[in-house]
Amino acid sequence: MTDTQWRRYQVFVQEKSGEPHQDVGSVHAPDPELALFNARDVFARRPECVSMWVVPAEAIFSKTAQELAQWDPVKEPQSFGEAHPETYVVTCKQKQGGTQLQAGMVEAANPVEAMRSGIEKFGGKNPGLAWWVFPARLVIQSEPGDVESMFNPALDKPFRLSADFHTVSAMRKIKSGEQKPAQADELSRSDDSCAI
Amino acid sequence: MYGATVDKVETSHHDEEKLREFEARIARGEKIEPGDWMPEEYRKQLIRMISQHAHSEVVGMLPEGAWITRAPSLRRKMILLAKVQDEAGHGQYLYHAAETLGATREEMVEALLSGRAKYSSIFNYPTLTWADVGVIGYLVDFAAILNQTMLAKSSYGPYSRAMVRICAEENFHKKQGQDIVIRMAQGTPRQRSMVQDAINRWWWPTLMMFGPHDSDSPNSAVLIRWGVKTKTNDELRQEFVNKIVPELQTLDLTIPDPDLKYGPESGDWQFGEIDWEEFWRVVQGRGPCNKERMEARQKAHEEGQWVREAMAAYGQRQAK
Repeated sequence: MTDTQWRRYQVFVQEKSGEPHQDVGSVHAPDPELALFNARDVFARRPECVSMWVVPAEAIFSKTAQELAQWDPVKEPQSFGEAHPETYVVTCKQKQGGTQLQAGMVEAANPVEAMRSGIEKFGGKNPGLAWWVFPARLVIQSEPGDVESMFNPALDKPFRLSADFHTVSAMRKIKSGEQKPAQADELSRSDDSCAI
Repeated sequence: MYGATVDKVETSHHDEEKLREFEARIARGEKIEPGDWMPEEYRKQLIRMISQHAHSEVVGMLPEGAWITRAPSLRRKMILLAKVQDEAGHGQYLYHAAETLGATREEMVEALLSGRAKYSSIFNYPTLTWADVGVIGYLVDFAAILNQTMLAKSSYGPYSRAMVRICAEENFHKKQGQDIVIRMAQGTPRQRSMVQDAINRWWWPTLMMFGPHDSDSPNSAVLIRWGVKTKTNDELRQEFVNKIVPELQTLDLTIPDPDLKYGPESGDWQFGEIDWEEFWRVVQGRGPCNKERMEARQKAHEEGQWVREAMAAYGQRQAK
């Protein structure tokens, strides 16, 4: 099938200020700005995002630990050609159940060199389970000024969180006979008290 | 020809070694990531499962979406809207996971719209009253959570990560449904009879959601061996029944199964035989709403055409 679909952008979310950005998945979009909007709707419907990145998926150079074990950087096509020194973002998956987490930045002439210096700089004692590198100039990120319009509206929708529904204690009360049918009101906030 | 044969033998010997290493990794609890070696069958089974799962999330918006305009209060409308948006998001997480295995978004969307793709049979039943919204959240989403909690431990990294996100959000889905059911079960006689009627209609389709008996589930063995699944359809179904029956009894609601009884020895709630003819009929496209669901998806896709065109035009202008 001819590939006519929109470009795929990898999405990274920072849940709290000071924490690393982490890979959450990808979206398709015709341009980076729309990718960011689309990613907001898909990956930040709850108050758990303060900053977001999107990166064209094809710009990400990746290696798993298994690939690295037999890796011959000299044979990588990216090692050839003209060198374009620039800043690369390095991310690493450290735990089996984990995802790619922002590790830091390196200066490199190409993705292969970025991978090598990224691993050297951030690998340390933990060799990592999978590494990604991509040019920092291709990262499109939400600005601090976008937080109000992009992420803060989620704060006004507490009903999106399961903690807003007190069904466990309601079931316990019914079971113990404490709660009779007419007292069900405390179950969740009254239907009329909708804060919008 | 001779050379080709030798090559083939060597390759298969090589693959056997890789397969052993792959299975050893899964036995050690390692996650397989895109780029790692995997058997072609693992890739194929995952694409099949994940894309069906994604389609189910997308079609799953329809039965409940029908009640957004008729929700009984503004708060309930906002909750339902948020839930249906989540289902759309879950479809996106899953399409992404399938893409990491080489499936394209285009192929998957086309498979759904053309009717080739399968999705969960549960969404081919109608939502007749508001009580259905409660019962879908309480029963159907609870059943989904049990399945998805298992899949969150799946051996394929991107699938497992999508499932972790989905499970956290599904808890809200289940609880908002349970909240509606508790209220109606404690409401007026008419509300009680509405919620009982919804349970009567959704009980059996919910049990069918877990899929055929293990003996009729040809893919189960390999999926369990490769750590994609860790429990069988029948195990998950029993887990669901054991958890939900006491809760429904607490609410004085009845279950439409005359054979349902507690087995003190096994500790299981034993239930009657599922109507598998109905299950296969719905899976094969002859359920009460299959046609309606497909038409609604196609209509949504066609009516979204101008939005996609506008976005593409904007994208082109930005690129200049």
